[in-house]
Amino acid sequence: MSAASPVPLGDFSKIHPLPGVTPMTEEQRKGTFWSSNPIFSYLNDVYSSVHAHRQSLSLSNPGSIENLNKEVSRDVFLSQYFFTGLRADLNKAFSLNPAFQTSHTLSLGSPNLPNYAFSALFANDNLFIQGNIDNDLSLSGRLNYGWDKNNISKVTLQLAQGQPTMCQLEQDFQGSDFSLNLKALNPTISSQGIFTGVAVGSILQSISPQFALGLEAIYSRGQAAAPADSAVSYVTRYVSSKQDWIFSGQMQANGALVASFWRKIAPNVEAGLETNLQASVAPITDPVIGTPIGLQPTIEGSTTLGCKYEYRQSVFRGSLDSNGKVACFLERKILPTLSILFCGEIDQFKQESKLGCGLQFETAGSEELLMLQQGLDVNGNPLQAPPPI
Amino acid sequence: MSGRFGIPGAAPAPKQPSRFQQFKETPAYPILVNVSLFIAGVAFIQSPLMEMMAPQL
Amino acid sequence: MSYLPSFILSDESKERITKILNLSQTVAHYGWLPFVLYLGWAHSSNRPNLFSLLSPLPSV
Repeated sequence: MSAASPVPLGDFSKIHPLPGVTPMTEEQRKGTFWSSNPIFSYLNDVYSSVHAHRQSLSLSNPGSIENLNKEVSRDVFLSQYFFTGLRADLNKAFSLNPAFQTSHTLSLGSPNLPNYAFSALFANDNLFIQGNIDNDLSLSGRLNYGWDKNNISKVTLQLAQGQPTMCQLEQDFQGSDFSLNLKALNPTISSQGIFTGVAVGSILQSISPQFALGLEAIYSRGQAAAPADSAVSYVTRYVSSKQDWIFSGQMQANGALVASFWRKIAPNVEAGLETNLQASVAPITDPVIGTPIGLQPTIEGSTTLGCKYEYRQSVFRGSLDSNGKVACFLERKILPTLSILFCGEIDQFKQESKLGCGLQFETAGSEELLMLQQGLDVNGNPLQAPPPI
Repeated sequence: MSGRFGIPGAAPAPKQPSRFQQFKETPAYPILVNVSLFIAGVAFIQSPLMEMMAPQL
Repeated sequence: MSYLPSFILSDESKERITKILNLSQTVAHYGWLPFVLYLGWAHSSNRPNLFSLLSPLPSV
């Protein structure tokens, strides 16, 4: 027993621990009672191992359920853009960052577009607010506020004279490998504490880097006295590993089955396909008396094939569907400040057609944007890149 | 012979529709048509034919 | 005296709530677009006047 290295009494780190007893780790020492007691530390361990496993799967966010078949139904198909009659849009941009622009829309001979509408839009990094009012003084407004990168609150308003108000509150949460969305349409709590309105909750979870599954639950109650209604829809989405094609499917609670397929063929060409099967119950009427004698299931289906060609000066969309409709939409920029729109649809089976023509003017509300529209920078020198309008 | 005692004005019993006509009445028909259209569409979009329709810029 | 849960509102306060709701609806109806325009006006560098905000013609 030579005292070559006398153990300093205050230094506990040199003392060997008892076998089977480990000293507290740095992490545990920092924790409070709630994280260091055996039950919670076990739960924490489970949570962190699950989390680490999730990280190791290298899943990415699947996008929201709302955008499940956005590539097909909003980008490629022209139903979002289709109009009939004549229309003119006068857009006036005041600044690009933050974006602020107003727009006047005049329309003639269209059954669903108002004769005149004024809209204004403002957007910066975390706020997006937009309003639209038409000649009947009916307002539709939309406000999105991003609390941080993953958390967005949305409010949608629709107010019209002599019609019930519609107000929708929405909360969007985007996790590392899932998206959660909660919606409430016209929520009210009556004095008996009964919820009326529509509540929707949806989740889309990535299962593998390419594949995502989700479900959407709807609860609705029109009046406090009436019984409530609820339904669940299931959705799925598959993105190919090169991201050049996407398949999505939806099984909706109202009996609709929607399958869509999208492919990017070339940098400027996309094609989309959507099949819609709607199951419903139709009454059978007696052929002689004409009174309903029973119910029978009916299934209606339609398949639409569409493509989109995007060029520097123009965008062309065309579609063909199994109900005999052929439609096209052409948008061409003939000047930096003026573009023309043309759309047409022929229903081959019903022998009907629709036609729409439009003009879009872009005017500037500030010196800087005026120069930008003419391809010049603020000092009047030509820009290298085409203006991002 | 049965036609002779039929109710006057009532149409004679229609000819038994063909198997295809019968099948067309069932809900399976639109399902089959649209599913096959979807498959054909996917095959068309994925085929080199679609690539040929992309302009070479 | 029978027990009444606290959330049962008197007719008066119910009326008041309805009034407030109607008022907020009117405010939202006529205040939404002016609010958007104000936000844009306050954030843009050149502070366009009301006429140039509302007219569709280029203001420069």
